[in-house]
Amino acid sequence: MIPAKFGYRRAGSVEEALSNLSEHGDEAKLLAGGHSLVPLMKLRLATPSLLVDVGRLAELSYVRDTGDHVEVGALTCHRDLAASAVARTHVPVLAHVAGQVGDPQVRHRGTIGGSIAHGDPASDLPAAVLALGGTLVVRGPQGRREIPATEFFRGFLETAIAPDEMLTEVRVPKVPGGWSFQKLSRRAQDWAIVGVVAVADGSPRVSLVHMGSTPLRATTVEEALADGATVAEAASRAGEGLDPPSDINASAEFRRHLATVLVHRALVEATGAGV
Amino acid sequence: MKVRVTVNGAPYEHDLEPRLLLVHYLRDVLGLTGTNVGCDTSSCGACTILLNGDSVKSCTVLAVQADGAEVKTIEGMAGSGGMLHPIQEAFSEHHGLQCGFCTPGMVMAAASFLEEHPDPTEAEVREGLEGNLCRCTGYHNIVKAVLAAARSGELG
Amino acid sequence: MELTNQFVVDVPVEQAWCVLTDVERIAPCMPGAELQEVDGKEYRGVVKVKVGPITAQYKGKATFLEQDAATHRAVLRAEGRETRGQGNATAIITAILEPIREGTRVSVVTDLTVTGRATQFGRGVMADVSNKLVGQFVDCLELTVLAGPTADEDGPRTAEEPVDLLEVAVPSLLKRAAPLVAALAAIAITAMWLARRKSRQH
Repeated sequence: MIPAKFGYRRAGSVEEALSNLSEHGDEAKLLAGGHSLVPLMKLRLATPSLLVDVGRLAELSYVRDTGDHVEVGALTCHRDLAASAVARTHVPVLAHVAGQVGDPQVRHRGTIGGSIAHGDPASDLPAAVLALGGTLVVRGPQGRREIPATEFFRGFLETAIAPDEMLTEVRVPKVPGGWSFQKLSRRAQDWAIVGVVAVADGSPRVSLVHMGSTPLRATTVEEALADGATVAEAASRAGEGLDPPSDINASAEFRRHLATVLVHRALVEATGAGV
Repeated sequence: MKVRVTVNGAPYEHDLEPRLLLVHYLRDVLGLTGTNVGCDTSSCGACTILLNGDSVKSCTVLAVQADGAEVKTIEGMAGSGGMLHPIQEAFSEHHGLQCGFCTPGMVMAAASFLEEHPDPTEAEVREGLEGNLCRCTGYHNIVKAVLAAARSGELG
Repeated sequence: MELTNQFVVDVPVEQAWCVLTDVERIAPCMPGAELQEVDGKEYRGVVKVKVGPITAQYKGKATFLEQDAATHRAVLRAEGRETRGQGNATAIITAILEPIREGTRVSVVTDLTVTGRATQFGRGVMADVSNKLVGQFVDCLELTVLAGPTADEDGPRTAEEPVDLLEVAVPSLLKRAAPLVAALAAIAITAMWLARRKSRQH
């Protein structure tokens, strides 16, 4: 399949990218690794009239230890994040999740910024950043702003990034404690049918992949745990109040069931609880 | 727009539409039809080539994104005089193909994988080739071939 | 599949009915829709929907199957075809206004049938986007048309009016366009979900 025609500019800097976005409004889209956008364009579901390629902005590819946080540049590809010693040491769940995105070819191109800005509820990294209580750094003509992950994902493929802004960094707190990532998919390159990220940092935080129109915190589970429920009891409530999609891979009912199973496994692994 | 790419060691320059996919550039403009379009939806890996040494799915990369880069396709694997690359040799010896459609992508993915994991276990090979689907072989002989290539001592 | 939307406006039912039947007043609040012509009982227009990077434009027509001012019930049949030829859909939209203590509850049930590739998809996101669009419509109504008797009676819309996604030349009676828009928008999303099922994580 062939995308519809579009113009193409390569941005040599963030400023250049931003000025292209300002000029063209929401007819322009940023292109990083292209592994969310190009497939949509090949199906002609997305038809931007201008692509602004930021894929060569090497200054946005980094993983930095800043004391109690780890900062990841938006253009860090999944392979590099998964291999990063800083990430593996201080926020291993994030490195692990990056290493589970798609397959090796995808990980050579896909970036954390691209994945998060795309805002697909079925993507793994948005859920990981949500469970970690991370912050997204966005730059635009009005300057720089920081958006907590809990306020960032607004709807299906909709984030808090304005059409003239660019995500430049993902910042997550270091996680000294246990964690787990559970993902069920039939093949490596499929989206998770359901996925769970659990971070045991004090009272556990749990986020869900593909259980709604955004990545979600499993607040029912978290509250149950905070109220003293066992992990089994808490996990059994994982599907409550949620409206997961039904599709060719799974019904909503199956997803709700899967969520309870995967949340249970994730909590057992993250907290070291027996049951 | 003008795009300059080095493919299998040879430099090329063409004026291309931004929407031309890298796989179509390789096949239709350069005539390198060894790389196959399988699913066209970024799943099967039949289109896998090396972009600056990394395996990528060329159906999901725009040719303009490869400007200034080095690309290696299956045609670039054999040595001079048609001498097979050790990975190709191993695929031949261990019957790692039947219809052959996935094979170019498998070989390129294996090349990239073995570069990053020169001494893999069988499980690591299976995971390392996750981005490539085969409908014929059941993967068993493909894995054998990749392990054999790794152990051959002939990879650079 | 069936989509339901519901909203409450804090005006009495007769006033809500009058307002919602006054298309000229409410049309500017319909996200992304443009009425292009009215041919007898048929209303024709286009709807533009944008969800993230995905945009879709539907060309459609609608006719009222039923309008009952006594029971405040209307049924609209809408058909749309994606202008890039990726799918089409039909919706039967039933809207009922009921008086409640706070004002009027408007209940909309959309019976949606899609054909072609779109049949492979699920309702969760459609419902979500549909709700969002109806929400935008209602917010806009409450800020303008329903804000009070003099709020918008004269003159052009003021600067603080939200949502100026469309220009409309509106003869009459696209009053249930909101659910129409919502339904057509929801239809647009089907293609997107189809894409998900066809393509893989990248």
